[in-house]
Amino acid sequence: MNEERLIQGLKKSDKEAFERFFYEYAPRIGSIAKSYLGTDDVDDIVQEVFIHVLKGIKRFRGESKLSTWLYRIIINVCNDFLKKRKRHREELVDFGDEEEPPYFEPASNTDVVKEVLEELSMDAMNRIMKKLSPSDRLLITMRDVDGLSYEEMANILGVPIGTVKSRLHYARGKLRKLLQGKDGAK
Amino acid sequence: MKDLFDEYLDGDAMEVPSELEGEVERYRAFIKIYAARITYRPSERLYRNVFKRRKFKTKLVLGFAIAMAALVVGIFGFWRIMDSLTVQKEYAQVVESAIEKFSSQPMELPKPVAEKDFLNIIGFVSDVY
Repeated sequence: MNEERLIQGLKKSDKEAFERFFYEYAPRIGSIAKSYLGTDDVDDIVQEVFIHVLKGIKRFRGESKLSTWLYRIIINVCNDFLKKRKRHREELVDFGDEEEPPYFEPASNTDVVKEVLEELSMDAMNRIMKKLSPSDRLLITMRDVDGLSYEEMANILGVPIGTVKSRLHYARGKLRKLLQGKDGAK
Repeated sequence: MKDLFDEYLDGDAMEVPSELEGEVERYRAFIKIYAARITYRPSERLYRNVFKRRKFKTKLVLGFAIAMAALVVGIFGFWRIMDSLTVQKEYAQVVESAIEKFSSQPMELPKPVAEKDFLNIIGFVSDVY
């Protein structure tokens, strides 16, 4: 089922299309929300995103990629959540220490990964990421984790490419400093 | 704004100074661990919740449509009943006012046949036969 057929299926409320959409996109939605909000408890956010998608899919005209449209919805839902949290000063289960250890594919730079893993405890890693703002974490996730192009990022965020580059540069710079322990991370 | 660090991370620069290489590797390794850290696996419960809500919504829309149709039919029926009652009432009023009119206005009764005319009629009848 290609993207166009998937969208048509969703527009017709086809069960198969819905199932495929859920299992293909829920992990992505969840990890973006986890990174942006800095919390592990994102089931409600994912559910809210799906409700928005199903509500708005009939109006989706395919002018952008489905993933771009979806990214915008995730950001909007997360922003609403952050506003609510600010208003109610809600306590969240932030990146916890009881998390199961992360799984990642072995790659060519496995030694460096091992080194970093040995050096940084999960707790330290969480502390480093918590020192970044949600938008910094989002930019790093978009570019360095999801591998989006600058053009896609600009489309999603509704800002010029130059602004994306500059913001990402500052976000990466902050993370670099934190990794060097220059910002009190260690 | 991009510096050599960004360019190397974005794959725009092929060669990177040795003093920066370690830092870039470290950054990449951190991102790899972070990517694993934010991995999310949706639960079956979440699927059921989203799916249930979707089905509930369909049912809700269907129920609302049926309720609206019933309401329209009900209003139309009520309007028809009211209308027929009004017509009946108006008819009764017209009949009543007619009766009132007839009973209040003295009606002109047919005049009795004059004696002279009566004789003429007898004469005519006897002439014929």
